[in-house]
Amino acid sequence: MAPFGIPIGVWINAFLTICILSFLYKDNPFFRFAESLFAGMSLGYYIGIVTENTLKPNLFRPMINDFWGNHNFLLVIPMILGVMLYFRYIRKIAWLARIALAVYIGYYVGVYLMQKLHGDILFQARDTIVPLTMGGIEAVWNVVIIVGVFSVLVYFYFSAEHKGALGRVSRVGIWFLMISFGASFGYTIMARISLLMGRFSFLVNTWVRPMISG
Amino acid sequence: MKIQKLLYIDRRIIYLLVAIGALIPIIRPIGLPVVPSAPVQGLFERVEELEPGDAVMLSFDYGPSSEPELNPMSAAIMRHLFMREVRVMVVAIFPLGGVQIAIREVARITSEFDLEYGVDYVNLGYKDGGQAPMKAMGVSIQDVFPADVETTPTEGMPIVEDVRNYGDIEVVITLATGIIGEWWANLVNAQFGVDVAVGCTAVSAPKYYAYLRSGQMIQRGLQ
Repeated sequence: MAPFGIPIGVWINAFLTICILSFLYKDNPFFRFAESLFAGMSLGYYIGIVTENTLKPNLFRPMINDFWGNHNFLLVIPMILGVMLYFRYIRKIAWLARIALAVYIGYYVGVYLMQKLHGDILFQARDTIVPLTMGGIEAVWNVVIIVGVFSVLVYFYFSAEHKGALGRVSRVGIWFLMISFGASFGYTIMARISLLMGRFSFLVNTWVRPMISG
Repeated sequence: MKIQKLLYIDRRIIYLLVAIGALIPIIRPIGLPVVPSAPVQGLFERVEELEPGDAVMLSFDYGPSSEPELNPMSAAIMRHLFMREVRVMVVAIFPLGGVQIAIREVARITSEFDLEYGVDYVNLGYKDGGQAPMKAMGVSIQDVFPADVETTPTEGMPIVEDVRNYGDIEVVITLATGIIGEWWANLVNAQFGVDVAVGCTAVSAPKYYAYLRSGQMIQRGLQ
């Protein structure tokens, strides 16, 4: 089925896009419908993709094909832990879900701790220790980095009242933070406009233009 | 004060003006120049340094909402890699749509070249868990991806047999939305020493400057 020679999928896509954009005028049932559909489909898609791309190849197939070989029997442990997460919906054994959750959190805390230490703290701290002896504009930027990092750290130091010298340095920190937030906001606007252009590009080039040109 | 009247403009008028501004260049393109910035040039030169047969991991870590920004980057980088005869392993860590975009874009770009699946490139598909598969690929990529995106076993595929872990990969390139680019930098680059390049959305760009400056990334987006 292709009204005006345009595939039905494009019509559905265009309809749902307009439903979502209609919220800019005011809240309405079409927006609510598209929003609920999006949320439901996203969840369904996520369940499907995790089953097909992770659970089947990494858990079910190795256990079915060769349970004792290649230590596949050990997969029983994460499988049980995964099932235990859903025990929270059965009141009598809901407490068992906490054990699985604890293992899950423990694993990710371990990974994340090292990740942050290796990737953020050490690298970024090293990059803050910059030379001031070089000439030219580079030295100026290095001073900006040092002043910025120090003043922002002072702003987040809450063990003493921010007045006197501490208050003045802290205000410099606020300026650095505001400039940083401003840059982030500017980039965010840019990104949102590019998303809008992506949708408009679809509506104009994939939906309206072929309809006009027949 | 007349200027204060601006505060009371109906927001819908502002939306309308933004819509007109966004629509004009789509209806009638105005041909603005695209000038590569220094970080983009850095990645271009890094790819130019690669030898034919070197391996690159390309991760599709974005969904449909970021396609307008990241699809042009993925097309440009894939064309460049295949022109250099570099082997490409495609993965996806972002759950909502990353793998579907990867399937479509990889098929589109690879059709322009004379390439053999499983030898010159492979699409390993999506893996759940975020940092967990990223970390596990440091030991064995095949253990994390026993099957490709079409559920074909990866055992016996030349590219997967040759490229066992990050030690066999020259550069990891992620086209990332949200925090995933950060994970590749502060986990894979920091712990495994692989060059990481991130093509990111504009929202994420400011925080990536810090990683770019500290040498944890060699690119921050095609600007």
